[in-house]
Amino acid sequence: MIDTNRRDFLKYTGLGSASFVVGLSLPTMAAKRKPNSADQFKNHYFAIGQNEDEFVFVMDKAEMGQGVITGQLTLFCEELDLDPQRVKVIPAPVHSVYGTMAGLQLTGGSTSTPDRWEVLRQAGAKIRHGMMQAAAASIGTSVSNLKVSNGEIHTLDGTQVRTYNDLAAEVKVFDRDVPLKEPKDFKYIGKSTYKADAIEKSTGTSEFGIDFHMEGMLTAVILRCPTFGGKAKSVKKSAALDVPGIKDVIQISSGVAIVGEKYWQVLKARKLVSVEWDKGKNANLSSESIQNQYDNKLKNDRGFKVHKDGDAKGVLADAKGADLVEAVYEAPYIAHATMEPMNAAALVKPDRVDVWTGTQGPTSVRAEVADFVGLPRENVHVHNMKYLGGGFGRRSTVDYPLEAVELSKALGGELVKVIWSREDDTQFSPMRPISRHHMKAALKDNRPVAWEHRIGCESLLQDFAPSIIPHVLPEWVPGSARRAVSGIAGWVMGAVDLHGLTGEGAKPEYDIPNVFVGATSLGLDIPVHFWRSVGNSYNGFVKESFMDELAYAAGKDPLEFRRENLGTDKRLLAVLEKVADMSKWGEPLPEGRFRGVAAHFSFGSYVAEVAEIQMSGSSFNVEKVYCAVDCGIAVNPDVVVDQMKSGIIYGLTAALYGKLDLVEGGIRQSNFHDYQMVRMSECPDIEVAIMESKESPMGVGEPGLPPIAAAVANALFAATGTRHRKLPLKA
Amino acid sequence: MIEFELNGEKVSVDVPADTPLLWVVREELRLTGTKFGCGMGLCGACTMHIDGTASRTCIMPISAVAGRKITTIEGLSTKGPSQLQKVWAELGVPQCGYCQSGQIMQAASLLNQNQQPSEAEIDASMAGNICRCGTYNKIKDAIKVAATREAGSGQ
Repeated sequence: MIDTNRRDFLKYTGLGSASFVVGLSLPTMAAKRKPNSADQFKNHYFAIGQNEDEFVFVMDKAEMGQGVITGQLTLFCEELDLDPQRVKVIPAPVHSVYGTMAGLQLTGGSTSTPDRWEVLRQAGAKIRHGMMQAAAASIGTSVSNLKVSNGEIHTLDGTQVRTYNDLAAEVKVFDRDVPLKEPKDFKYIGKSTYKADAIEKSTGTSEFGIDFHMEGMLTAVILRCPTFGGKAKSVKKSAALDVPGIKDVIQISSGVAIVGEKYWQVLKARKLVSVEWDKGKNANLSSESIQNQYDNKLKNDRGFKVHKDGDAKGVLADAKGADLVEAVYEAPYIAHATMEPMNAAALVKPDRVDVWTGTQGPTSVRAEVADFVGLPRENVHVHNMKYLGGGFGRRSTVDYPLEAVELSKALGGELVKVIWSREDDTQFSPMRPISRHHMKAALKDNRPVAWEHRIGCESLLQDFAPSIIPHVLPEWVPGSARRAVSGIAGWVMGAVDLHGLTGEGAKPEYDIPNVFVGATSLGLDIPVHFWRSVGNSYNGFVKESFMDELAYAAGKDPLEFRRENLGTDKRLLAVLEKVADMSKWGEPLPEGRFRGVAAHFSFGSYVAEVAEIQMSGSSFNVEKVYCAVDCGIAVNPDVVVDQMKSGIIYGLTAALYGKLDLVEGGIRQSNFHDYQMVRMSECPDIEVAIMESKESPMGVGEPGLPPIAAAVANALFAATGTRHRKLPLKA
Repeated sequence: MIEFELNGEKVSVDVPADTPLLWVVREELRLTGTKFGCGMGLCGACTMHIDGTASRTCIMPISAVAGRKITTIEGLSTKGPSQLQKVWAELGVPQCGYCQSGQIMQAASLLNQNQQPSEAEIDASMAGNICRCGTYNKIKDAIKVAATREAGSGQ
């Protein structure tokens, strides 16, 4: 595996010893460490071999459909002046040099492009500069007599040529910043010609975690307790052990593992294992009881302050009659439902552990595994897959790799791959938490003057922080101390989280002088996790639906009402006006057709959407969605459009159908027949406009999602006069 | 022993008769381009061609395909990517890519049977294939472009 020396790195990339190797040192959230000659052989990201077209980029970001390989290479290759299609990408191992978020390798939060916008271009520019210097020395001329294009350096008179590969053994990189290109000179940024993984993914040659295979590998499925937090009391396994190919039936933390040679065998044998469960403390918990508990709590509890402007409480207390608007919204548990179900393979030996899986957070996997088996972190090798079959937040947990490690260890060091069936994935994955929202607003002269939003929702970081904090702390801190610190941190961050995540996107972008957003939780022990756009997903729905209610209460057109109250947020106003133009807002629609609008700011980007629905009796279909986005400079406009559509369709599935019912502590739904997805036949035609911008690029993986549920619900109100305050809309 | 033809070659496997074709191809014959998504024929990730027609192989017992011709995504590109796959890549259809083998096999089957499918026919044919990344608009575009090119090439 890769280590902090050049030889090991070259072995990892498969290049010869005379190659050029450079550490790009790409700090993001942390202070910027500049690449320089002193550390260029410590942090390995990129190498150029002496043979033609030997360019290798070690990718620390997880490609899960968001186009991160395309985006990162576009930035780097723009300044390097090399066609990105010529660069081979291999996934990075876990190493501190790749740490981005607090030292963690983590792909999420729509951060990859904004975080790397400067550093990747600067890194590319420095290597190009070094190449020009090396070429000048080799030819015996000055850099001013040279020009470069796609990895070839020519003398201006065209008589001499050197390629980056020719110069691989001679080049040096300098530590001074190099001036970056003017946007008008961009060859790759702002174009849509390059898509790194399109051919692999169109020919079935892209490898995912589930495809991992080695000779002698065993396969396992887990039989889990139908209630969250339950445990097996007794296990009858003899019938399963009689199935040909079954090796073992063995209890681990998450349930009873059925281990065999092949998936079909273990799946069949699982049906023959009978377990008496201790259902645990959640046995009587249901979605309904949770909503009721939140309802009671929110009536008397404003919650932790997420945001406060002016005196919403006082103004609301004085508001009367038609000027006081109140409503209660709710959203259910929902699943990520990645197309590739969770899976991981592990091989645990006394002095070494190997894990093969697709993960958004390989650092956490490594640290958790190291703690679990009691080995130093460097003895744990996480082989991240080049491609993840969907992430959406789900693949930033450690549950599924840890399960494979525990099982491999229990089997005495056998290589085993655990595959979750779709039913396992639907019923036992951490979910987007249930939420409840008590809304109150006051109007004065038909303008909103006070807004209160009380949110009841479980804290995400309460679970997530304890699993992350230990990995940020140095390894020499004993495990028990790290756990203790993280336990406290989890508690503290559980409170802080209510500001950052539960209430994310709840603060209205509108000019309302008195605002209070507060959030509270119940302290449930049901697994919940980040779900594409996180708090924005439900708060976007609530905020933009309630804004619509206020528009009607004020007797105004919903789009006009938003426009009137968006005085300070010019970029959101601009996308709103753009989507109004695109959708011909205000012009009459055909019989049975209705429209709704919503706008939302998240992950640095501004998005407005108009949804058009067609009524047929009391049912409806979403026919058309218009979307305008301002994400700063669009690094690859085609990817931006794709991501907007992706967020809209993912959000539409949640808006129309997304609901997991917790009944007696377990999830009732199991597969796509009762947990429905939007399919092509009901997928709207989506038109996306990207605003021209000179601002730095911001996130695009998530921001398309938050407005869609409200846009559809608002169209539904326009059609029926009934306000839909409970998701999903087609329940 | 059950014999069938896989991507033009005769193969035989010794597995329980109820083993789904998907798992035989993935685990016994080690062609992993075809994916597992739901195990109930609900998502289309496992789509292969059986005697030229798109079928859900996660619920197709191996005993039912004895003597039949199976084509997987790998078999679609034995002589380099097919026209449909080229269009797919050119338009940049895939996002995470996991469902795409199934989508392409379904689309290829549609175009084999109907060279110029209408919008409604595309919807009807592709409704069984779920994509969580939401590539539906582009899938539809790719099918239309491929159909136009095939027509243009005089086939």
